[in-house]
Amino acid sequence: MPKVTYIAHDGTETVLEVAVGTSVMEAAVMSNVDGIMGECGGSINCATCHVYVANADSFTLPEVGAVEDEMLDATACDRLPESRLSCQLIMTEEMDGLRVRLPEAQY
Amino acid sequence: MPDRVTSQLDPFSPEFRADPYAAYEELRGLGKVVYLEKHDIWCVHHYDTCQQVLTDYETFSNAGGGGIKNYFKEKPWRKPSIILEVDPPEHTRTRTVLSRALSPRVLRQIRDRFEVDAARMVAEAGAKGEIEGVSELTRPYPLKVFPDSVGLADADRDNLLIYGTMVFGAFGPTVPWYEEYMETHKDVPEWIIARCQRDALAEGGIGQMIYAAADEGKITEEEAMMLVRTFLSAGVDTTVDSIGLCLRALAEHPDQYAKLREDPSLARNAFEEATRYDSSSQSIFRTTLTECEVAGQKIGANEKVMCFLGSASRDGAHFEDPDAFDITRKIKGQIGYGVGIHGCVGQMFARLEAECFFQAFAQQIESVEVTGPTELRMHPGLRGLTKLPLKLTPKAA
Ligand code: HEM
Ligand code: FES
Repeated sequence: MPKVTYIAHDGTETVLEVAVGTSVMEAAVMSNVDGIMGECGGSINCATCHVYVANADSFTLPEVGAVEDEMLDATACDRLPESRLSCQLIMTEEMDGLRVRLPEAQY
Repeated sequence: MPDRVTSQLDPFSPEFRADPYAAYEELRGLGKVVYLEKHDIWCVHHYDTCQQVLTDYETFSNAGGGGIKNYFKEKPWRKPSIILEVDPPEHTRTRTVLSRALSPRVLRQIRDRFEVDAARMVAEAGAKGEIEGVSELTRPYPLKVFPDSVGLADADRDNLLIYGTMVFGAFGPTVPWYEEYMETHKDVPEWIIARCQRDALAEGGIGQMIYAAADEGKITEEEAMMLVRTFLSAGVDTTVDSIGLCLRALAEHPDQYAKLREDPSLARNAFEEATRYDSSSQSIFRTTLTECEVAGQKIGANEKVMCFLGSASRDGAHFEDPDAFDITRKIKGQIGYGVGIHGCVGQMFARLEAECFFQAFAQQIESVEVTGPTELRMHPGLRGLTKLPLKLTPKAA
């Protein structure tokens, strides 16, 4: 299964195997990774699944959608060029090795 | 007769509303899609089918009306909501304006004020000891912090509750009390509109943020007024009712309250669990645009589908031990705020408001007991309490 590395704000790394078709948010929530809340369950209603993709250049990630784009402008921690809502990052085989940094706060 | 599962259950009857969870269990036992003959509507009541219906906006439209009335077949009682009762692309435009105004970024600035208000109001209630919880605590708190955040003037805020009854009362079938109520309070909608004007709203509030979107040309001045009004109808009763039901659940489960008291940082999760276990929004409606199929059942075009969120939240196929109230439960896939493009835009606001409230409560109150019968309010649209007699024992100073 493809792997994703979650890098907490304090630098701690958690590596998870994420099934293809599962979102990077869901996988984190199911494994109780702190720092990703996903309170709306992936409906792009809450922005509590904000991540910074550390190695975005290595992948073709899905485009930032219009609603995601709006929500990213209003996250608790600053938006950076590599900001994404992890509920919109649906795992594919090609995304194996993805690394995401978690912001200091989600709300 | 056509092959479909039917039921005589009436979700708007006093019996159903008194104990919806027993009725939900019956419905879930009957099948995935049930036709409610009393109202000629379909309903879904499992987690997976509610998800399916709510995330497929191309089939299940909101333009047919947020309540039981079918706007595709009869004229709306008032101008439809420009956010709840529209589909994309119209929806996207108004929705993004509200999303911004209610985002985590904005809410971070409001938090301190919520904490101060919550601490003060809980302290006052604690000092009294014996209280009627709804009128003395769970109603005044949202009625203070919510309109304050919007930037509404102080006077006559009880009108917001009257307006809420008007709006949420319209979700159900027409009943005599509702017509009377509208007549008795016919001045209230005017009062609300006057309060939603640009000049009437305090600087720095969420109301002014919505007018700022009008200045940027994203919405019209008229739409800004309507969105502020939507706020006032969608954000008050819902939080009053959900906070009230959560407090009752905590009072009725002393073991759970003990956990919260020992660790007040569980407050947000406790409210999250209450939103699953017993919350204000029990059901929402969609109207089919085309013929479709849900769990093998064919549904025609222009049909009303009632989605029981309160039942989906008790579906054992998704939530382990669903009837238990467990404030440490890790909820994966909350459905109590709806899901999909119309999922509650105010949910982060509601969570923050409740988190501050229950945190203050847990910090100050040693124990809470229900001291008499509680009463439910019986108007359609929302579930909530009208009476919650409580005894509060403050912690020793
Ligand atoms: C615990 C409190 C609350 C609950 C349980 C709740 C529940 C819901 C639900 C279930 C929906 C979906 C309706 C549908 O899909 O048909 C919704 C939508 C909505 N809620 Fe809330 N709500 C709450 C608080 C709030 C607050 C505080 C606000 C405003 C600040 C708000 C504003 C809205 C708006 C504007 C919509 C329509 C969104 C759209 O159609 O895109 N709600 N809410
Ligand atoms: S989980 Fe809510 S926006 Fe991603």
